[in-house]
Amino acid sequence: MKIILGDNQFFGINHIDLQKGTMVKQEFDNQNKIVSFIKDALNIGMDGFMMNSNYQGYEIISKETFSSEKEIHYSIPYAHKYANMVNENGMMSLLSHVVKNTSMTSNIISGTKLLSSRNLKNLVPLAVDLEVPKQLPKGSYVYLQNIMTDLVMGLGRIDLLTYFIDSVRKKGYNPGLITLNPIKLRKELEDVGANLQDLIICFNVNNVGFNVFPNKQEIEKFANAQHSFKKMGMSVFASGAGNIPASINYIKELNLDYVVFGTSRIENVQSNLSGLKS
Amino acid sequence: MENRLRNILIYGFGRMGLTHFAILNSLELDFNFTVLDTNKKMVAILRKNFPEVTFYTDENKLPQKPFDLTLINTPPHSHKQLLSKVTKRGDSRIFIEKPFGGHLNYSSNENYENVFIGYVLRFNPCVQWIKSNIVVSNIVTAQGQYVSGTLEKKPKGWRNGEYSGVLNEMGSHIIDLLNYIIGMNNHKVIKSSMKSVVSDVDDIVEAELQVADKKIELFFNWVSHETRKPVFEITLELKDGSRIVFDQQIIRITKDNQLVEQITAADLKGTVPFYLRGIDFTKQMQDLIGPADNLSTMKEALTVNRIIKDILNS
Repeated sequence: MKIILGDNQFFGINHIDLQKGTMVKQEFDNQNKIVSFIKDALNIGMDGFMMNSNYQGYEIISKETFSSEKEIHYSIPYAHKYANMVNENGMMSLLSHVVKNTSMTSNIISGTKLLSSRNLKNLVPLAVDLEVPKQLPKGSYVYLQNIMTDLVMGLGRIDLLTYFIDSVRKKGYNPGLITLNPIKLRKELEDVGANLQDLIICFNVNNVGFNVFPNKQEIEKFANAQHSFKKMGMSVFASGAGNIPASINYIKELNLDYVVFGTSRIENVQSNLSGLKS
Repeated sequence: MENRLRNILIYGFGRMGLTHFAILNSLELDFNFTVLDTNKKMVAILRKNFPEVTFYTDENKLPQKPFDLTLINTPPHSHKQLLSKVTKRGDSRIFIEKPFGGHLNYSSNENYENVFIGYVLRFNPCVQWIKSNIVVSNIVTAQGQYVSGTLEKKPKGWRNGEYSGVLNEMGSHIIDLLNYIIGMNNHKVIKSSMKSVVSDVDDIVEAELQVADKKIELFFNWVSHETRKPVFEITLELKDGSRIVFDQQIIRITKDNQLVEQITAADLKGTVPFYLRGIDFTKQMQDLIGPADNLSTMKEALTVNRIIKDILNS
C-alpha cells in the first residue's frame, strides 16, 4: 500500500472542525512553507503527494521540482473558482471561460468540435488542458474532484467520465476519480465497459463511518473486493474524529492500494507512516 | 420507496436546478423530467446532452396538465409569479428555492400546504440534533453568523440588485434556522448596520433583534477572503448558564467555560444513498418526495422575509 500526503491542511479544509482548518491554513501562509513541508514528508518516506489545481497548487506544480521517484497526484478542477464564476456571471460564463483560456491547439481541435456539436464531451479535453500545468511530470496521476465526478454521475453522463479518463491518458498521465459514491461509480463504469486498468478510484473510508456513503459496511465490502482499478482511501482519520491507532489498524485490514492523509505536523506524518507501513 | 411523484418540472437549470436534478435522478425512482430555462443558448446545449429530458424555453409551450412535483430554482424576483402559475395549473407539490422572493415578498396571506421552501441547512445532522434535543423555553439568547467568500468581484444582473445581498442570500439561511429551532414570530429590530464592499447592495450586515423574551444577534458577511467554504455558526445561551455552539460539523456544549459535551457529524453518522454537495441536499430531496415534515413551509419562509425586510428598513 502506497501512502500519499494529502493537501487539505494547506488550504484550510477540515471536514469536522472548520475553525481548526482555518487556523492550520495560517501555518501555511506562503508557498515556500507548503513546498518545504511536502519535501520533508517525501524525505521521510511518503510515496507521493496530492495537490489541487487551485491558484497555489497550480503554481507549485508549475514552478517546483520534486524527486522523480515520488508520485504526484493532481486533482482538478478547483471547484470553488468555478462556483464563484457561476455566482457572479451565470452558467454560460463557465463555458466561455474554458474556451477562452485553453491553448490554441486544444481549441482548434476540441473547441471547434464543441461549438459545432454542442456535445459536452468535447469540453472535457479543454478542461483537462486548462487545469493541468504543462510542467506536471508525465506519468503523474490526474484526478477529477468528487464534486464534478458525482455531479456528472448524477446527471447520468457517465460517458463524460470515460472521456475524462481517455483525455488524461492521451496527455501521458494516469487517470483518477475522486467520489463519495464509489459503489455506484464502479457499477456505472463497468456497465459501459470502460477500460479501468490504470484508474484509481479515491473514496472516503474510516473506522467511524464518517462521511462514508452509502454506509460503512458496504464500503468495507467494496474496499476488500478484487477490482481491475486501484483503490485509494481518503478521510481515513475521519478529519480527526477517529482514534489514530484504531484508524490505522482498521485501514491496514482493508485491501487498498493507496491511502491519502493530511496533517500539518511532520511528526504526525512520520508516526502515521510508520503505523501504516508496519 | 413508492414513487407517487413521477412527472417533475424544474424551472431554472443553474447550479441549484442541476444539483436537485442530479440528486433526484440518482435516487432511481423512474422520474420523467421536464425543464424550463429561458437561456436559449444553454438549452440548445442541454437538449443535445440530455435527450431523455424534455426542455422548454417558453413558459407558454409547457404542457397544461398539472405536474406531480415542481421545483422553482429561478432568481427570486420570479418566485411569486411562478408560484401563482403553478398553483393555477394545479401542480401537486411545489418546491421553491430560498429565499422565496426575498424581503420584497413578505405580505402574502396565502399559505399553500403543498408549497415548500428550500432552506437546505435544516437537513444538516447537527441542526437536526439541536432541533430534537434543545428545549426552546430554556434559550435566553441566540447569535447566528454566516461568513463566506462567495463574492470576489461585483456580480452582474439581479445578484447586484435588491433581490440579492448577503441578507437575502446567506442571512436568510440563518434566520430560517433560528425560526426553525426557536421560532421568530413577533420580532423587533433593536439595531442594525450594513456595508457594501463588493456589490451595490448589502455585503456585511449586523443586527440585534428581540423575539419575545429572547435577544437575537446576527452577523453576515459574504465577502470574507479568509473563508474558502461558507461557514455558519449559531450560539445558544440557556437559562442554566450553559452555552451551545454549533455549525455544519460540530456541536459544543459548555458551562462555566468547561466543555460538557461535544458531538461531531461523525458521531451523528448521517447517511444517504447518493451524496452530492452535502448530506443535507440529498435529505432535503428525500423529504420533498417523501413525508415533507422538515421542509420550510410557505408561512415560515414569509416570516424570514419579513425579518429581512425589517432589518433592511431599520
